Amino acid sequence: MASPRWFYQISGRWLPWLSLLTFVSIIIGVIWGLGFAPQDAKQGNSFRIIYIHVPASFLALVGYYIMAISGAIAIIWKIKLADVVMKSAAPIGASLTFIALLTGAVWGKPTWGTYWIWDARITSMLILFFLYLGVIVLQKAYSAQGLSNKAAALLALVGTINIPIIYKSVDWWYTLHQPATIKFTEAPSMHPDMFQPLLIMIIGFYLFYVTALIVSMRAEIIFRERNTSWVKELALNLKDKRPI
Amino acid sequence: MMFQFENFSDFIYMAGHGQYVWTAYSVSLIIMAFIFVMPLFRKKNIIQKIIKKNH
Amino acid sequence: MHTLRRYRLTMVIFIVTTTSVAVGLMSYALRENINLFYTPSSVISGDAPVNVTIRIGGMVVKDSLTRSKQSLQSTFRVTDGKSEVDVYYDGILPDMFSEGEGAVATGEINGDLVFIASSILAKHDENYMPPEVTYALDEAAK
Repeated sequence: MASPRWFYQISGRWLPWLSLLTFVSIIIGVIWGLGFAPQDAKQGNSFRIIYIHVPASFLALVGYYIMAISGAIAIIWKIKLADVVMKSAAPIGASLTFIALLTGAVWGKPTWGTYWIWDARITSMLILFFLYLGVIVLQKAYSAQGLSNKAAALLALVGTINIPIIYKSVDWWYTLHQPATIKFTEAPSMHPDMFQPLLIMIIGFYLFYVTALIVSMRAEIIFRERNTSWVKELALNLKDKRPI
Repeated sequence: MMFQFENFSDFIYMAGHGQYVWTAYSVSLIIMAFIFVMPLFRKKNIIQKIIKKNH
Repeated sequence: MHTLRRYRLTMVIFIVTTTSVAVGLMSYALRENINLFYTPSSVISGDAPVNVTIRIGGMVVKDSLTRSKQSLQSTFRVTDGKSEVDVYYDGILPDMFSEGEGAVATGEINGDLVFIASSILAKHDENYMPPEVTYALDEAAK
């Protein structure tokens, strides 16, 4: 169990369903958020950007923990699959962080009056983006794969301190960014008509994260095991069919 | 729950915020589609290489 | 647990804790610099530097905004609940700027403790509500 081969086979069975579920929930969330959620009394329609901005930021932070923890598991217990998770999580996390920064900038212009400001929230989020890029680059830094992975995992672990800083930055310091709308301890400070599509989008982004991670891990597994007999067999079996 | 806009052009214009909202949504969804599809192509490439080598 | 694994686990925990403590101490020491703006209280108490470009932030006091009829000049007061500071600004205010809402101004404090702003940003809160609900709440409050 927990071998790359085992994961490849079992994930192949889940993948079509997960992809379908991801697609359906994001489509519903997007249509609901763009067309059916009421506009905000103060911000008008620019508020609709929240349906991308909040789920992307959320998964960018969660994804960092997933990457760092699997990096630690790969270092300590030398589990191959954990290493594959770390490697696949980095570009997905970087993309989600980029989406969070971009949608934030585009939302900032009509609400704050500027695309960018160096406040604690936005700066720490930019640092997160660079941490993800650092992990991606370090994985390719040394010709010895083991050394590269170790260096990348260490950077990922050192960077975990940034996650609580991002999350609490709006409470610890004076920032232009407002405090969190969705809190762990109390009800969201948002009307239910607006919150329901947001919940759908957060679920959709979670599903997207899992699906994207699995798809990326499967490609990485095939690459790493390309010289093994089971991958060769799989490739030759796919020869007559259209490989997906 | 009902559609919040009178017609399609209102939906696109969004009372002046359309450019921001549509930029945010379209760029984000393109990036997401990209990170989903890229590994599929990568896998396809690797498998084709294996097939060629073992032909 | 295997000795080598336990050693690696200890190392990982050690690295994460030491960097966390280091970054924690650093951001505590630099907290004044990390803050985006000074509060009106720090302007009144003299903690905020005078004649240097800084930012101040707070709530725009209700009924304090006056706009010149001939030009873009406007004045208003910002408060943090304890102190208030007069702000003077010559330029276009952001769409979201309004009394009772947050604002962050960049500029300088002059000798009379008036803040001469060169740019104004609107700051909004984390509450979202449809217009009809806000309207109903306002009506109920009357």
